[in-house]
Amino acid sequence: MTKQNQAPALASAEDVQRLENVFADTSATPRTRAWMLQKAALGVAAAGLAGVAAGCGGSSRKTTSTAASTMSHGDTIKSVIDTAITAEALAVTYLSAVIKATKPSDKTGPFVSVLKAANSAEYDHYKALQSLGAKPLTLKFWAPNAFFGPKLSGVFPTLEVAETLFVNAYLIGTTVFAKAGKADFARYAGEIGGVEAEHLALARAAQQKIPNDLGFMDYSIDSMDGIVKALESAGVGFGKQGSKPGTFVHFTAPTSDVLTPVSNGGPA
Amino acid sequence: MNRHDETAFLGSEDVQTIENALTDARVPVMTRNVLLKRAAIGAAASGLLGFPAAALAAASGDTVDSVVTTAITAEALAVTYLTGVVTQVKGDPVDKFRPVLKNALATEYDHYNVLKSLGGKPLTTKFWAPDAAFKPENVFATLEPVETIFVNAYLVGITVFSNAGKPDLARYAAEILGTEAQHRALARFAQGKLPNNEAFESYALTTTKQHVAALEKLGIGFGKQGSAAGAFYKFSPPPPSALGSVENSAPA
Repeated sequence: MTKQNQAPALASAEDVQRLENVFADTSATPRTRAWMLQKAALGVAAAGLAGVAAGCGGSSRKTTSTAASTMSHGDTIKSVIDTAITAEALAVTYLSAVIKATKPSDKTGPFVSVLKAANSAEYDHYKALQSLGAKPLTLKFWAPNAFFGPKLSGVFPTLEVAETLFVNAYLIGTTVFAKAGKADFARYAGEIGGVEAEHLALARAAQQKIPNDLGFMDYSIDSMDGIVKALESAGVGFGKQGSKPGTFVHFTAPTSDVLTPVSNGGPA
Repeated sequence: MNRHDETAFLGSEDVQTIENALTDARVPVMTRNVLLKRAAIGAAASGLLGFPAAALAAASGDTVDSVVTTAITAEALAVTYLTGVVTQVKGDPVDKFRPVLKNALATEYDHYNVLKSLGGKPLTTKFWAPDAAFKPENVFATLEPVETIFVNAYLVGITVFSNAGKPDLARYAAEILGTEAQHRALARFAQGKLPNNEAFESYALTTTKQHVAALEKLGIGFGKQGSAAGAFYKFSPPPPSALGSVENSAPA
């Protein structure tokens, strides 16, 4: 993860990637695509293309990423997997930062092995979703300072909220995939959702709360749009500044020092 | 949980199993009543020996019914075992994690009640449990493989329900699965193991028949004596004092 405290450039790496995603889904010729991407990479075409990336006509740069990730009133397989991989990128980015920042005396100190295993799992989810054709809508996130806090006291309360939303998101996934007759995808969502549920329980245990406080996992949100909004309410920004004081962070593939081996690196 | 010292096969759960089968077979009411009466007085015991486990594992291809039936039977097993642990097993690490166990029991009982409300009928409510499973030092080592099997079973459920065009049932299975995954992780934590050791939940078994076989391999018996030294235990609703407090006691 790379922290960026300055205001976001309009044509940064994630913008280029988002454009590439959009082009890949359109019939733009390779020449047009290459030319546009080059322009974007140079930062000269960003303003004009922000609305393209939004896909549903977001009128300002500020709303581009969110609009792209929440454009569906009814979720589709694509909206689910694209939102899911974006959330997994967020999780890897955050967990990697937490693990790197942890000192033995911090609240997270006794749980580094659990955090590393969680990070490995989230990164495996990211790669599995990528292999299924998912494309992150952004790789740049606004992380509120409160997600870290003094002695990293904000980490487990943050994870409890985030993992609850992630479990909910994969329940949406199971539903959408089942409706689409994609039983294998529905099961993959179940395989991932179970792991996110484990993380939720462990985040609660680390706060000295009873870890298993549910008879059924929470499904209070029934659209990926709702999941994104809930994360934004918590202060997260997807490719834009969030609602609370914080900083921009960038997803990068995690290094070995923030991971630990886990079993079942892909769906069965 | 009630420990049964005798091993007669026509207890109330056998009558229940027969009743389930007769109801599903649409046997005329009069014939059904006669058969149930005979069953209740034990006249048909020898012919029914071993029926529940065989019926549980009969399906080679799973259906919505086979999944729901196997699931509610497994939940009855979980409630029976956890009730015994919470109310009768003393000593660490059980004492240390008793609140977790009580919540797990409340959760499994919620699952049982919901599956019942969906039409689920347990094929047996009498289980053979190995004695070793009730030693405090073995409780979490017992729960870990059992919860792993339960998670896997609900993954079968998601698959079967999705293929049957039942997305709501698929989600219910996923909602339950998450809690079973939590129990698995906590069982590992209580043993001093890395709790979250998987990136994807295990789907090594693809049929409910395989799940029953895997549980039997652990020494559990479904309406019949299991392979390890143990005793029969009968499902009954857990006493309130054994239950923790959990939210979301039904699917959304």
